Amino acid sequence: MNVRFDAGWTDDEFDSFVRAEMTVMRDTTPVPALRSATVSRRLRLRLPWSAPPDRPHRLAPLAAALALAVMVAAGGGTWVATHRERGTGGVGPVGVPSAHPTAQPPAPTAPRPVSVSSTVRGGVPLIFYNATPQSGDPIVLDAVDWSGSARGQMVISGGRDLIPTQSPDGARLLVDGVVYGSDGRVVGRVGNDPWSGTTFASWADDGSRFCVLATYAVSNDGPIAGSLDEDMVDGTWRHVAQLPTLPMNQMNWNLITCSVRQDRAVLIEYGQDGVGISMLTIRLSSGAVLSHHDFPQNIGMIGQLSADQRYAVDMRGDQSGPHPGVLDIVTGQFTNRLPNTCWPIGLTPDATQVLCRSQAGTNPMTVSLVDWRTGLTTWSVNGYNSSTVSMLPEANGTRIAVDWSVAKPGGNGPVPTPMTIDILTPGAPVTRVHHVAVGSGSLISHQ
Amino acid sequence: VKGSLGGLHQSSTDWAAAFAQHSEAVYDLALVIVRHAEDARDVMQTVFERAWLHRARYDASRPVRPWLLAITGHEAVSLARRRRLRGVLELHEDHPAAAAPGEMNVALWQAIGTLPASHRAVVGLFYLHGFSIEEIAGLLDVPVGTVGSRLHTSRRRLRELLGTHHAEEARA
Repeated sequence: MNVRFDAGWTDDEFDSFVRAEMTVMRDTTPVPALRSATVSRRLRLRLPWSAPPDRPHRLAPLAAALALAVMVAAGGGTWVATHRERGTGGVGPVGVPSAHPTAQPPAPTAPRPVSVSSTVRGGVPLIFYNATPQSGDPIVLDAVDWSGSARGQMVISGGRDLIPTQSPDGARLLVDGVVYGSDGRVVGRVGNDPWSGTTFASWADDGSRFCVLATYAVSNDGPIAGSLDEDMVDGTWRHVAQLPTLPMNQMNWNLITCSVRQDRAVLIEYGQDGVGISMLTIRLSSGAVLSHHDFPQNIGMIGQLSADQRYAVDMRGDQSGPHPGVLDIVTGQFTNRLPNTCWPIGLTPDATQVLCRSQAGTNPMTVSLVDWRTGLTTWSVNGYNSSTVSMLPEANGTRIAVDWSVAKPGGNGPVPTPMTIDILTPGAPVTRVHHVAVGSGSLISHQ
Repeated sequence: VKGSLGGLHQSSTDWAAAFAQHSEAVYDLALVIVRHAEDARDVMQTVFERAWLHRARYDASRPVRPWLLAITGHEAVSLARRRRLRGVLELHEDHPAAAAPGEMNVALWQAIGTLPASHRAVVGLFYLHGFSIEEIAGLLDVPVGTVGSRLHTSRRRLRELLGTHHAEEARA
């Protein structure tokens, strides 16, 4: 700090002070390079100038996508795109391919400098969590089973900016478009569809494929369209449905869940302010729209759905405060309101209980599991603060894994407790799995 | 410095130059708004992706930096709001002052963090990039009065918080 704040400054003097300090920030903050993958979910970066000099740039797929888009816009070809007007309350049917494209063989992919080694003992459903040291490289993932026993470790070298995702049973991990078994061997590759925009992948609940949401430009100056695809672990893919085309500033689809068992994917459309404004459920096998709901009050947050994909927690907000509840995906209605003190994280697989946290910054801080039908709290931890709370549901089970950390009083103020992972079974005692270092430790998500 | 690149939409080479020239400005503004290095990087990524996809909208006769920063403002505010609604951001933010102690006023950075994302966008564009209120209104597509109000509110809030911090330091 070069200049100390003076309460007697005029606004102009204060402005000069703020400008000077922000200039210091600008001059002392390193700017990172663009990533080859923004996060692991974003499988590929298509910016042509980001390709290394010895690799061909990505204009070719962009041109291919634009050509495809022109075909779509013209109503010809095998895709039918339907546009809709915002605010009409009606959904146009999602464009459905009249004939699914034939699965394509994997396209050649440039080798990435990522290596994976593993000591994990598989054969049972696993939970991977991040135990990476501060340096960020290598990425270290520890594995435990659902009884809380350690099952080994996977180490990903050269993947500093990557965030792996794990299949629901923990048998496979997706790292930068490559699928690894828990033993560290490569078992497949995804992301071979030709889209030129941004691609997100979410593990399906069967652990053998992904729902892939790709957005791309319909034309050079036009809106962005979305495509929902199904990508197999072996690299083949299948187009499922064309999403409504929206102006660029409204196009912000988010894939919430992907269930082969329930034959559906749920997507949320986010508006400019980042709050959900509509929800779409699509049948994976046919691309048909199962339900569509507009939300005049907006969807604030959708957490982990129940295993049957029927219920989700939702947090809406308005001038009077937050309004959490349990949302029926089919009807689009709240089936139950939750106390305003609950910021819902997600539902247990059987949909009977909600994982809640109190609002960030509140004291005491609470993370709790609440039976939403009775209002009874079945598990909770308290402290003075909390880092991010996340959860994973058990595939084919009723348990959830929760990672949390709260601060406890200490001699010189609140002291953060180590990040802890608990396995919770509705109606049964908690299994405390692991304590990992402060500041690290987070469950590896499915998407 | 407001950069200008004639024929920006003509080639990827021009875009590489645009990225090299403006990535710092985009990243800095995103960092002020989302307050987390990884998120700021995500925003920067998205900004250049979208700018590339929609390069035909860009008027090559006008400076490119304001156009990129306008996209940055929208993207970063949107991300910050999503993070807030998911209860994530508040407890998982970075600040350059922590990374480089003494180089930036920590109290100021923390005070900026108490502002809503939409206000942080105005603060970043006004103080960091030197745009006028009228220019910011044009960039963010909001009325001039709204920008003025957000800036006034932000300045008052920052002064209050810094004043409190200063008084506590003096007592200590």
